[in-house]
Amino acid sequence: MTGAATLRLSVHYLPLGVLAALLFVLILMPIGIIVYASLLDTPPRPGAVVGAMTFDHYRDLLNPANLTALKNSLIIGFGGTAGALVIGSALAWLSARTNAPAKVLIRIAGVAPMFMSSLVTALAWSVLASPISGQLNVILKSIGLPFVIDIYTLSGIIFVMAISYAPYVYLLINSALSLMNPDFEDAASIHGASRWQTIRLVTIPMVMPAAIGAAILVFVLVVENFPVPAILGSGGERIQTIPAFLFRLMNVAPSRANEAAALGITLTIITVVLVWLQRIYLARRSYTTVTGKGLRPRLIDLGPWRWPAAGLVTLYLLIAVVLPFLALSQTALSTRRFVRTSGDLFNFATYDFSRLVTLAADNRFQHALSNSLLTAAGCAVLGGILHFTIAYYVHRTRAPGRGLLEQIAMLPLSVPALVLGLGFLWTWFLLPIPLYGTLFILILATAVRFMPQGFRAISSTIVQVHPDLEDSAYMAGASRLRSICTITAPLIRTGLVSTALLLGILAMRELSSVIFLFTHDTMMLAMVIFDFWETGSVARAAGVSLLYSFLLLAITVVVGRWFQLRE
Amino acid sequence: MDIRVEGLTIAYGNVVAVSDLDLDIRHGELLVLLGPSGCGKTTTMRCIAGLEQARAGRISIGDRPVVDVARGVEVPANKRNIGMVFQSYAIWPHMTVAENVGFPLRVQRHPAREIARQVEATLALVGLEGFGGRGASKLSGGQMQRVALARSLVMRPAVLLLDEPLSNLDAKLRDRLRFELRAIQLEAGVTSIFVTHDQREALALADRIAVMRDGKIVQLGAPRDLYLEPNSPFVADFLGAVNVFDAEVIGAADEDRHFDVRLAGGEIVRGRPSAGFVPPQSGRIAVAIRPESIGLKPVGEVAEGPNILPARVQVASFLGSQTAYRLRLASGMILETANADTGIPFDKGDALAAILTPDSVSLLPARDQ
Repeated sequence: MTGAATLRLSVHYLPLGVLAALLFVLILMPIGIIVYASLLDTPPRPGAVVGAMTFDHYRDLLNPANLTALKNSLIIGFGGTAGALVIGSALAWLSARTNAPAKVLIRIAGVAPMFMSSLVTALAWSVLASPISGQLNVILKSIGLPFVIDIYTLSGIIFVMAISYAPYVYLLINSALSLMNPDFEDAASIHGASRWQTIRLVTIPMVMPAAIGAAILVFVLVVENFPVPAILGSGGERIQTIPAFLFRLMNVAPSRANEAAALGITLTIITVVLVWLQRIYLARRSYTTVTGKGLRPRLIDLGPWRWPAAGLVTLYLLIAVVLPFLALSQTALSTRRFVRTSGDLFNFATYDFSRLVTLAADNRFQHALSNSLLTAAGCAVLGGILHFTIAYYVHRTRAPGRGLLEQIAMLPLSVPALVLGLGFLWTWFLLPIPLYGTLFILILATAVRFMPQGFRAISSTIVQVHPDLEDSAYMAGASRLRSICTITAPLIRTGLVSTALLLGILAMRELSSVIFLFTHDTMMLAMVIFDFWETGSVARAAGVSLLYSFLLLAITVVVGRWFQLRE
Repeated sequence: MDIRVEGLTIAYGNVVAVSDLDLDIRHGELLVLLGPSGCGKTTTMRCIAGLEQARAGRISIGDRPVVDVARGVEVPANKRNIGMVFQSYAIWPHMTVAENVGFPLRVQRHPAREIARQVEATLALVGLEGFGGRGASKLSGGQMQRVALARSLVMRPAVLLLDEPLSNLDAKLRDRLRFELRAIQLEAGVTSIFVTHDQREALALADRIAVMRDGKIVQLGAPRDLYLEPNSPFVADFLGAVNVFDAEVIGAADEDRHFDVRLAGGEIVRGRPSAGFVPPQSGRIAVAIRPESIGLKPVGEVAEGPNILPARVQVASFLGSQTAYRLRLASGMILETANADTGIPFDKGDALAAILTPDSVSLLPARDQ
């Protein structure tokens, strides 16, 4: 090849090179550094000598405390996933396929816990059901019932996980059930299957890919979840999980960073294997249940079971949403420091709304709020642009290595958020760019953490636009960039905006991936809640939780409205 | 402007889509690239457009080289001044008709008034006066096709490329727009390349047709020449002679350059070699018989003789202006005919005689194995 041709090619691929370098620094380096640190005898620090190689940290992982943490993580993983699957798929089935009354209620029950991040749910339940002063236990004692609900147990953690992650199962199974072509089921009944046989032989097998996908997704989320065990595993006898233990290793003095890295790698291996298994499973079978014709699936007549079903849904809504909300409100508003009887609990004279107002006006809250909003906006805009660029390269060019690009973009899905955050911390310690301590590093971390979500959402809209539309602008004399800006981007603007909003909301809720990255100046709301709780200011933690949940709800409602207007 | 393509090779990995292709297109000419799907016709066009990269070869438009792989020349598509009508039309749904058509002028920074004037003039050319203010997403298929054409013509392109522009329309509209397209192209006088797999479209539109197969041009010529003098069974078949048989030469040429050949079923017919083909003294060749050149007479009205084949009607299919028959010869061979009204309609099972004039029986090189 001549020099000119080489030059032409290199100019052609310049943006791709920049993108590859960016992804290297943002994704591959953090993961690489964790692997590296797990094999060194000193933690990575700027200017420090590189330590000696050792496998000691992996050998140390075999000590009983770690093995207990691993066992707990797996128990919580399986238990939480099973619970979320049962709740989520039952609600999805009731909502999509039966004539159960009050469908709106079912839909709310299906998604509502999403607006309270798992951090807030855990906090609420520690207020509700701590063995000594938990509000439920106070009530039980007042009415003379002789048992105690203890949330600081493995089953307590499993319960909160199940509630927190049931919405994911609900959404995935609900869409599989409502998009399934009713012809499949009609054909089964025409060929002689009873209603139950149809469900068993046709419906369930066809929903299986969605169910397995949801199960693995939830398992990964539960196993890597840090806030719930951090809050519920610390009361009474400590229940340690891998993420909580990792956090503790980093926070003891002196920190045992290399051990933390080894533990993080162990956790990553578990999640990578699961995500990989899921991909293999989903690749092996292709079910085209989506017809896109908007056919209405048959509804099953529940007969006399309609009302018990509605009752169960209401009960669930009460437990998953109403009780936590009331608990947080009582804690945040009550002027009494201690609640001893149910009389204290329902003594509304002790409630004081001005506490919430004071909290909202508080400097610390205001600062965290603006940090949260800025980070969310930054993640929405910069993350959106980054994810769009990757999706464009993967789906719209013949650039070499675009398959690899996609793999890298999906990688954060299988790296636990806490581990990713730790890798980020060390990466920016070593790089000569002083990002640590700025909001920008939080924006980058969340943009990377949610890259799989952003990349997938934008990809699905990009592939809906025929490449001819952009090519014809290019043929008409516009540059590639201009063609993208005037044709492709406007055509998928709905998808772009909704992805940006999704990224913003996810970034607002994020705690795990940024917990090692914030400083006093860059606290976000979730960190403030965690911090208040850790320092024993439960009332203020509850107050901020309430404000935080309302904010998330408000944003989501606005987004939902915007969507309805679009469609 | 004229287009010169030399030694063009396009490949993806190890898959060669177009290999060493040469093609000259004259100024103002409409050239059709015709071939089955996967023959490389669209790839060739997209490479001329600048949407695909060549691995080897040269392309120049007028005096300007736009692709020269050996010298590292590759003019980007947006600098080639080529208009293109896509198969999907690619009409931008978020713009009005006028915004769609005016887009090429807008990116060239023409003044707004000038754009408006030219858009209106071009819309008039394609028969869409007064449509400028409409939203593009509310157009019918035929209207979209015209908007796409106007958008390509408004930039006064050096070359107009048309990628199966009629394939998404229903049959009636397609026939009408074919004529209009040709009329507009002649009026604009723009050098055009038209890609299609429909031989009727190709015959009706082209100044010249290039028949492609496996990334190569197998025959290039005026529609009539290609139709009457195909150079291979593939071209004969692709241009609509559905009766292509294996055959064997059994005699030397007579004074009219007619040869006697024996068809695979045993029938002996007399035919004429296609232009440029010299049949071997003996050995395998192919024979193509055009359906519309076969005469039909009831049995008994003609004597027996060469090129008169007794047959029975297997299927009769009335098409309005004509009746198509599928005939079964004594040997079991099938002969398709497409006769203008023969006076007496035949029915399924009728015995008749199929009469072939030697000039309508084309002798061709044997099929590839």
